[in-house]
Amino acid sequence: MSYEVKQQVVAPIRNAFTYLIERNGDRPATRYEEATIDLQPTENFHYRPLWDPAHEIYDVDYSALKLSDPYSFLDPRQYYYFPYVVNRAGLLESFGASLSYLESRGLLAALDSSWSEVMSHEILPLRHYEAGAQLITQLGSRFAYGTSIEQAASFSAFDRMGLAQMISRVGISLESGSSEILGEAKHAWISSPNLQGLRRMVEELLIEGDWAIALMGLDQIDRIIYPLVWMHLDDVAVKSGAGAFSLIAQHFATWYKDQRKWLDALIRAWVADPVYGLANTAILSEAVTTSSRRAERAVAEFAEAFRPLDANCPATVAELASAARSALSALGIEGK
Amino acid sequence: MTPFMLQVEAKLNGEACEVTPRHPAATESVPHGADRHVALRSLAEQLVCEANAVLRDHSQAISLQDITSASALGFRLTNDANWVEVNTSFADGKSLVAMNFAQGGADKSAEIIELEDLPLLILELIGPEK
Repeated sequence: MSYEVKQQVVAPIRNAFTYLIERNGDRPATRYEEATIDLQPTENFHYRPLWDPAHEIYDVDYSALKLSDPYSFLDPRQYYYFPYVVNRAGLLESFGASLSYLESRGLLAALDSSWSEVMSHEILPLRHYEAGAQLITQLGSRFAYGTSIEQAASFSAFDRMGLAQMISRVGISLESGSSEILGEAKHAWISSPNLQGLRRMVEELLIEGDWAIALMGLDQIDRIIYPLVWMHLDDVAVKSGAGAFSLIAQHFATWYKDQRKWLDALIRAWVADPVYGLANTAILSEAVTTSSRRAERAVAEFAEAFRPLDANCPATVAELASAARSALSALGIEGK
Repeated sequence: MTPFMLQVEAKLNGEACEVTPRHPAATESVPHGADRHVALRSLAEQLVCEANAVLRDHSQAISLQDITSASALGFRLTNDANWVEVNTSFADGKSLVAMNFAQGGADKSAEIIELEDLPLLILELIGPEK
């Protein structure tokens, strides 16, 4: 008895799930699309939240910024759980490798006193900035309408917690394994005069009722503080021989570039929306007007501490703030 | 059972517990006072949940009620006639913070406890098994 093995191609009855075919036609869908589009329930909500009976559990009115089709925004990075986790594991592994190298060569301990002073008293307290940013972004995870937005906001919130932990690890390495320095950093966050503008702004954003406005406010700070601390100071570090800082800064700068991808895409989607675009642009412009100058002042106060490393830091803050406004203007948002 | 739940059970069985160390309330900066309040409030919620998991089988329960106003943050823990109120009031612009504790219906006493002593304060609210 013999067997003949033949190849037989069975054509699929359809190429995607019904909800994707209804939207995109019968074409093969990506995993991202399958794991994102139309996942959030939109009807048959039985109970309104006890803490907010004016809204459904998923409600477009949690924010003044709206999209006529919430899935007109899709994360350009196509992150759903698996690629997000793989990517971030790589980032953390690479950061850990840099830190291990710095520890093994004693490079953090060998930093010039002005650099170690800035890292201990100015950079480490930013772990609390990141923790605040995590809570603000988490509001988007809960209150955004549409899985594509809430998914990207959730990942960003996880990122902020990871960034806070990365800064903490730098602190522990600075102290050769002791965590005492983290307590001092917290004291600095709630006591140092040059950090109070930042702290106040973050805390006020925490109680902003509109998650999207809060996220935009946070973004106004991010647009200045990230290029200042993790890019400009990185350049200063390279020129002044503080390579240890540079090795650390690169990981935060990498993350920030990634963050820009989804957030700028979301802003573009809000502005370009065929129904709500004009209203969204007006609201975004107002939000930027409210928070942009405040963010600039807060970061300028913070940056005073960097004068020993770079006397031009205040001027750099003004340049970065101006660049941030130009970037928003290119997206269609004119803050005053 | 967590260590605190075991302490709650021991208290219900009539075991004596330490008296919560208290200190006179002191003025602090707004950020420090707010930070202390948030830490106390967060830990209180955790501990009340743990305590109630044990107390529900003994016909007791601690309630946690937030009491906030424009110039104060506060919460009250109540178990039958026993209650404790933690109040952080903000006054004089940005520099005056005071925390007050009241217990057992007595007048408010301007006292303060350390965060690590909060479990003892909650145990004080728990009476013997009914």
